[in-house]
Amino acid sequence: MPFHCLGPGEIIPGMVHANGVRRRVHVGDLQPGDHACLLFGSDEERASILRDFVLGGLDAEDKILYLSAEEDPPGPAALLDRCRLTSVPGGLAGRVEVVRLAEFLSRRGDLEPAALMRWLRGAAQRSREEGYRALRVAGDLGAALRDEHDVRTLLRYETLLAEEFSAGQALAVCQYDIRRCEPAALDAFASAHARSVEADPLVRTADLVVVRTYRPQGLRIEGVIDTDSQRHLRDALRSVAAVRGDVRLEMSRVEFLDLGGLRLLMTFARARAARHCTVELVGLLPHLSQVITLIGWDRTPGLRLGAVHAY
Amino acid sequence: MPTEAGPGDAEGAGFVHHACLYGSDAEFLAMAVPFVRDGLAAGEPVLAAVTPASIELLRGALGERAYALDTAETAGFGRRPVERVRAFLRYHESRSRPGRRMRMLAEPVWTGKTARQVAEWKRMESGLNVLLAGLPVWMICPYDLRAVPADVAEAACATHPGRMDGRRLIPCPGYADPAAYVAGTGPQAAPAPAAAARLGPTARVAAVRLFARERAAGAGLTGERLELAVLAVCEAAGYLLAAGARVALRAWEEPGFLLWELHSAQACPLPAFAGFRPPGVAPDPEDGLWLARSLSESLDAEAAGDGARITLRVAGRGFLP
Repeated sequence: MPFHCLGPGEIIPGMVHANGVRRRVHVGDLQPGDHACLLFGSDEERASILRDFVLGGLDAEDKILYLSAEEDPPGPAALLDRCRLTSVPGGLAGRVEVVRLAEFLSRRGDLEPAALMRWLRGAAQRSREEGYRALRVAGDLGAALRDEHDVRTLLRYETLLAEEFSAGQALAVCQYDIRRCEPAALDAFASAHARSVEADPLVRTADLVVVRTYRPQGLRIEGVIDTDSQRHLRDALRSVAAVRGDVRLEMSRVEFLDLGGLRLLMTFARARAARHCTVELVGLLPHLSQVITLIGWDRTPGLRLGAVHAY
Repeated sequence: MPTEAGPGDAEGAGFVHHACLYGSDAEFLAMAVPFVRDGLAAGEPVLAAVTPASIELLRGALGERAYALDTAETAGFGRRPVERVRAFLRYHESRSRPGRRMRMLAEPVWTGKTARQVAEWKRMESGLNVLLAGLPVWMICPYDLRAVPADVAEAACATHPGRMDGRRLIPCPGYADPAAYVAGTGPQAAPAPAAAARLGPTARVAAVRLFARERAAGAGLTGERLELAVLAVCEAAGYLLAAGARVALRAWEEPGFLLWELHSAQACPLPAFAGFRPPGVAPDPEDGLWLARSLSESLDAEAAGDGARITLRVAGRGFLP
């Protein structure tokens, strides 16, 4: 059950961004010194991002450290299983470590931020000595939350972490399950991070970026869709074809969309309708909305036209 | 040889296209009333897309039957030929009944148009024989001899296989095959002036897009009109590029218009009346050309030497469409 954490507008000392404005970073673009949050709403969303986090760490020769709450994986193999990774190139061989948060609790069962931070500092130092590029930390700290006191403790930890990691010795992704906490607390946790992490793009070319989104389920499409890039859009749409329920395509950063690209969206809408659900196009530039209506495609089964976006 | 046209006429499976050159209200009604009355009696959808005055006249003559008649003021039933074709197709789509044909009275607005626009509408009248072929539609296009210029009345006999005089069907001996009619109307667009901005030849869509955007912005277009102009040029270029061609572009301004000439030195299929049918569920190579045509004030596509040339006139600054 979610519990009340903070009142509206309540300011927590140490907040990095009191207004909650953060830059998004793709998980594959994380660099040492980054301290990012992941607010996830489904196991699928977390698994997808965690998978890229682990693969990115192995690729960059980082030491990977997972802070495990009670429900979390007990060891590296279980962690890979959670990421839906069956094997990793070169094997684990000490490159992935799982540490239980229970080791940093006081006798009363409270998390001790300073003790955890000391340990992380040492772990980062050891990683460098062992030849790793950096220490790469992830964990679902929100899983350890019990009450408002824990929220404040966790925010202290986040503040310490932000200061510690800005030196560039380590990077961290702090996961919070939005199903387990109230919006005000989530805002506070999010505000304690300079960046929020999202899945690596399904498509990343010079002209087109397509990112899987989870809340709501769908895609964010940015850039240009023309004859050269239609196949990328088709592939990206296939990746959400199996989504149960409605899909939203966020299109406010689409600079150009040709008729062939529009047709792909209409074909996708009809496929949605066949599954008794819809696709909503949100943030379309007004002229694209006008073209859809001109052709008569605004009546396409399964299609919903959301708010348009100003030029 | 004139024949009496009755309820059983024009019941073939496809499109039947007749003109009616009338010189008085009585002559109009002598054709229109039986045409509408017989259609309604047979349970056919009947549309009168004619002038408001003709609609009023017809309603008065039909009496109670006028309630069953669909009407549209012709000036608003497609401002340009491509829109007119779409309007016909949409009416058919929305009102067609299995096993029944439908009837349309379609009287274009001829007065007040430029010579270019009149030529485009004449070509479209011819094109309807191709574009609507196969549709179970009997269309009669009334021409008011009190208002239309002589060349328009003359063209009616070249663009309609027959004409109605009251209930009598009179074949048009001057009827021309539509492709031949269009080919015989001469070059549609003047070539680009020497001072026009140039690009290419290129096979790169992105280069076309950047050039189109730069020229449209340079001509003072902004916002929605800028984006629609870029889209029109890109779709027209896409039609030529899809044939494996490289496209050379020219862009220039005339008062009220921004013009683009797209030239391909390679052969490219350009059927007469290409790009007049709106996109359907299944993709068609002419879809992009239809969109370019719909977003332009006019679009001329024609063979040029061994290649092809498409000329678009897009509303420029100061033009309030």
